[in-house]
Amino acid sequence: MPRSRGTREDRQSQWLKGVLDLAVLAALARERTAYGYTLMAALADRGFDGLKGGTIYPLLGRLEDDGLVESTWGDGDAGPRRKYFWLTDAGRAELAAGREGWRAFAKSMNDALETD
Amino acid sequence: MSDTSPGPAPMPPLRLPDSDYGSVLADQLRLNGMPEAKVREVVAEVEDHVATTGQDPVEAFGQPVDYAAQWQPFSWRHGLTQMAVGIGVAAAGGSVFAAVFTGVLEPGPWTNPVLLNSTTLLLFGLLALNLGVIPWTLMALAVRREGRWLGTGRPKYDWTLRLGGGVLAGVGFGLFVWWAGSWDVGSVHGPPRWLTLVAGLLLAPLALRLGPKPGDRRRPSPPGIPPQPWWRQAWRALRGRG
Repeated sequence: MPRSRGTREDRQSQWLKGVLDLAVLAALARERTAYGYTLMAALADRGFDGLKGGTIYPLLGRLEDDGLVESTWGDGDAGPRRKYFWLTDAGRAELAAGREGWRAFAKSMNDALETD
Repeated sequence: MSDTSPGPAPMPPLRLPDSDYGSVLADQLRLNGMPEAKVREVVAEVEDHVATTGQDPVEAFGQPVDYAAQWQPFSWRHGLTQMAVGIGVAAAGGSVFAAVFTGVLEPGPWTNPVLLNSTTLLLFGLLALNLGVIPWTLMALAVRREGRWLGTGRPKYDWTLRLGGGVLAGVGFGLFVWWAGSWDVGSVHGPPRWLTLVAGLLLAPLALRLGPKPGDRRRPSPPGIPPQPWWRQAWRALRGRG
């Protein structure tokens, strides 16, 4: 029986849940310092468009609780105060480990999906 | 790439002032037991995002109840603690009243003991019901409802809840009078009046500061401002300014 479009989207959503933290860490590594919106724009540039603030900000909060990112409040552009984030050493180590883990997993999965 | 946030709202969202979202979100976070300093940060992030992108906050973050739960889920332990502190407010008010009321019934020096009898017990029960139990349960219910359907045009049922609260308070007080009336404790001598008065006056601002305040509609101050000392917070709470 063919899979519905909804089921395929659910699957993508599940994949994203598992790796979004790594994508955020990588985006922070590229940007060096970023606030929520610039981080979302950086992720959109890499194909993660459609992410919402309701997903990104709590994730950044968890990463900060885990000591992987740090933040400080600064003045926004004539608007409310703004929180800027950057990677810690622990965050860079987590990103490196996650990148290696993902490559190994992706290779295994690619092999598993081969039908020849 | 699809988003991982909850699915679409059951009714089409209406555009609402961003500050409304910030206030309702702050209420939900406080209700869930998040410290005020953290509430400030979460709300400020939302407001910065909305100001930068021009997005509808409900569309970007979901309903305040759901977004608050992502940061700190509601815990019954916190709810019961808040209710107990609300009863502490009642105890403070009851102490002050008992110290003064004893002096009216039996004029004498402030070193005289406080009279504890059925009247003071009834008063305490009434205060506990109205300051501890009713605010937490009914106001918390109203706040949760507002945070679940923000911007959807659904009625808040504020008056229904208030009327229900009044009826509940009346029934509860009636039951308490009936129960206390059949329980004659006589008159017991408590601590000195001056000590009861001082204890009540000290406990009141502290309990008001810590006590249940669902639906107080306070918007958090911007982050980065150092918290006020405890005595200034207590003084503000006593003046009803949070």
